[in-house]
Amino acid sequence: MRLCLEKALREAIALATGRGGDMDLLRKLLSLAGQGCIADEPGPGRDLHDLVGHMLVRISRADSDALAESVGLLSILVGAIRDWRGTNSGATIPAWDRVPRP
Amino acid sequence: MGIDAPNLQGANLFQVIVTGDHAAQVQQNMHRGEGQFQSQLGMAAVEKALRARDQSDATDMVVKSQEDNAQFSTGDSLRGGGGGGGGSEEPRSSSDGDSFFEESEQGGSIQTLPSPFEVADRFRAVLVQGGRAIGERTFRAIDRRFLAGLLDQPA
Repeated sequence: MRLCLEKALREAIALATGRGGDMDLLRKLLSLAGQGCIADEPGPGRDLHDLVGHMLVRISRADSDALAESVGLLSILVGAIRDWRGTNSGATIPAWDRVPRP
Repeated sequence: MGIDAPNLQGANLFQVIVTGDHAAQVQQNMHRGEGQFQSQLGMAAVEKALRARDQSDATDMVVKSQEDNAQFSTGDSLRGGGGGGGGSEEPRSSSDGDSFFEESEQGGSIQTLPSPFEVADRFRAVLVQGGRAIGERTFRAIDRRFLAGLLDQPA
């Protein structure tokens, strides 16, 4: 999930800044992230489900500020997951700018 | 030996013949409709091939089902396929079966949130406050669904 959202964030940043990016890939990544969540799950899973759905709807509608909003939302989600992982699972997560880009 | 006598296996020959006759008639009727059946089969094969090609476009990710090539089909289907959105939406194609959307339609409609950043902040706060347990529970469930999706089995 973390890698999926991070890749989506990279795509959203690239699209929002006009430096390439693939809109279809972004939609697929959000759709993939959504497949891991279910609506009737309580707690963070439900919030994740709602947020992914929200971004997907707005991006697919081609709303003018959809990409910028998605960058903001994905940043919060990715940051929260990275913080949680670093704090609780004892995992070492590579810094954002050190993650190899495909 | 009479025709209406039982054979060695206990079957009634008369019934066997009548059933055989009936089966032959049904088969003849099927041959009449064969042209239509063949054309439907051909259409199904073409559709399947197109779907397979569409699916193979994704290089490094697994998506259980593929949306069609309509520009905004994802959003339209998310908005309920004419069920709960605005009036100017395209109707959702029945072949556009993304499991995320299907699942969401079962569990509740997906729509835009009035204050998404509040939800995102809540997500972060719950992870911070809930600590290890809540995150593990959430992400384990998500990972299980991803794996089930990879194996194409129900979670």
